[in-house]
Amino acid sequence: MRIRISLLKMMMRQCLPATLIGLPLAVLYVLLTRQPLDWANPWMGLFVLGHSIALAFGLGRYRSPGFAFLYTRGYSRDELWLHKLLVTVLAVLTVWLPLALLIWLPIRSTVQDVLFRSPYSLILMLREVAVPWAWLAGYAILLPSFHYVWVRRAQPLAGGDGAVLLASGTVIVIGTLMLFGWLPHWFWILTWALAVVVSVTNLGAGLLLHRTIEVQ
Amino acid sequence: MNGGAIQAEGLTRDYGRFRALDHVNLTIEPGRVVALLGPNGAGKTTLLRLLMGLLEPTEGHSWLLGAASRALPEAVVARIGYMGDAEEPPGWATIQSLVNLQAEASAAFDREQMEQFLEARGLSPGRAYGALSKGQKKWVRAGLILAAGTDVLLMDEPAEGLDPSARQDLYDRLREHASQRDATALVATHVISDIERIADDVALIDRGRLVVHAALEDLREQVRQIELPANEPVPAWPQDVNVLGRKCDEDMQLVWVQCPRGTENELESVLPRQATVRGVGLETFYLALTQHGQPAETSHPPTECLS
Repeated sequence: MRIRISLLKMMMRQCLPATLIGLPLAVLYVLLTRQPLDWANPWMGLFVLGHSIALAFGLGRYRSPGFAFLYTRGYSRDELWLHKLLVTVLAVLTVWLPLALLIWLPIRSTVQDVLFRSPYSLILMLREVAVPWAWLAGYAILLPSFHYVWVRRAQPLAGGDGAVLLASGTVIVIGTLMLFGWLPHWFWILTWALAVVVSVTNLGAGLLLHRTIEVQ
Repeated sequence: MNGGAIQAEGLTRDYGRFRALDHVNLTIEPGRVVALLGPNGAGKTTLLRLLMGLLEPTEGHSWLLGAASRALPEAVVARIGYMGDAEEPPGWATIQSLVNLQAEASAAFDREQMEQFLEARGLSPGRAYGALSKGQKKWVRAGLILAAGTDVLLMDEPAEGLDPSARQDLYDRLREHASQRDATALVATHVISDIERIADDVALIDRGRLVVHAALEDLREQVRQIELPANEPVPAWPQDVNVLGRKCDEDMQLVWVQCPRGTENELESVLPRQATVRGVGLETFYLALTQHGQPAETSHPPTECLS
């Protein structure tokens, strides 16, 4: 399959509102939050959740005139699905990478030191170095679920309640884990294995069901 | 299926309890330009969407270039040009970005032809789609699928909103495209004068049902209007005579039939003496049928009047 630049651009534009709103908000939060960030930070958790929903919505409006136009240009359904996934990755990286760089470079530590004389500034980077990976993992688990929801909702006989339940369940499990914090090592291994299985299944099912969505 | 460029078998689509398309059987041979004629809400758009695979049929199947509409492979989908009534690019997209998008999808896309197409209406590629008039939008979208070198064209009211000269120009280009590439086109319209410009065949659809699909020449020559007294039972029609529709009122029944060459005498022989038969033009027949008439249930409808 070839990468179609014009198709990517057209789809990326659907994600622009989510990026334009999300990126400055998240940058400000990361720069100005005084307490050290950890993977269970609820505000960043909510941000990843909201951003994922916005991206899935932007790329899943199969009943809009613009999508109907896109789906009648002569691209195959599989080609459109794979470009949609590629655009999802690019849209996430557009927001995630600047946030990660703020922590890793370490711009956040410098800002904390200069603006707030934060006592944590010297250790912030070392302490938070793994946190961006947790956010990325959040996207990797949530977005396949949400894409699947929109694909199921565009099926000929509609429905899709099962997909909504699955996505809701995923969000609840992640939220619960964030609340309860540290759990035994074996539990995490099991949870990650399950998350990978769910995400891969969602992506595979999305590919198959995307072939039969109704576009109008 | 038998290899028509466009084919439908028993194609049916319900929206809730409303049946938008009712068991449509249609085969269009390669190289034919077919005008899909019918009043608003007749099911033309639904038929085109089903053929394009955008909707799942409630019953039946359809094929384009031999491939099932709902599973068009990459090699086939790039050879189909679809211009829907409601499918529109976003307003922020420039004409150039739409050209690039189409060119990436269609290996046979002819940029030079597209440039000429735009120049013909004084449109510059840098203009935003949303800033164009309704007619200009149609022009751009038609240009995209004609320049894409498509072998099958599905077009829904392509000339709506175009001024008369653009309308004529578009249809000339469509005819040229079809004859040069031996392309097949199904063009929905409810403007009868359009048909004269483009069509080899006419498919008339009304209330979701395909009333007639025949060569334009044949329809011009073969459609007859039969007037019968209201109390006269409808005769048993000859096998080759295709009953297209009927209208009944207190004094009179009107029946429209398609009477192939050589069956005129056979038709005359089954009609009562009070019956009068006259040839009618396509427009007269279409207006009478779609405004007042009942489409035929079968080629030999029941003897009772339906309305």
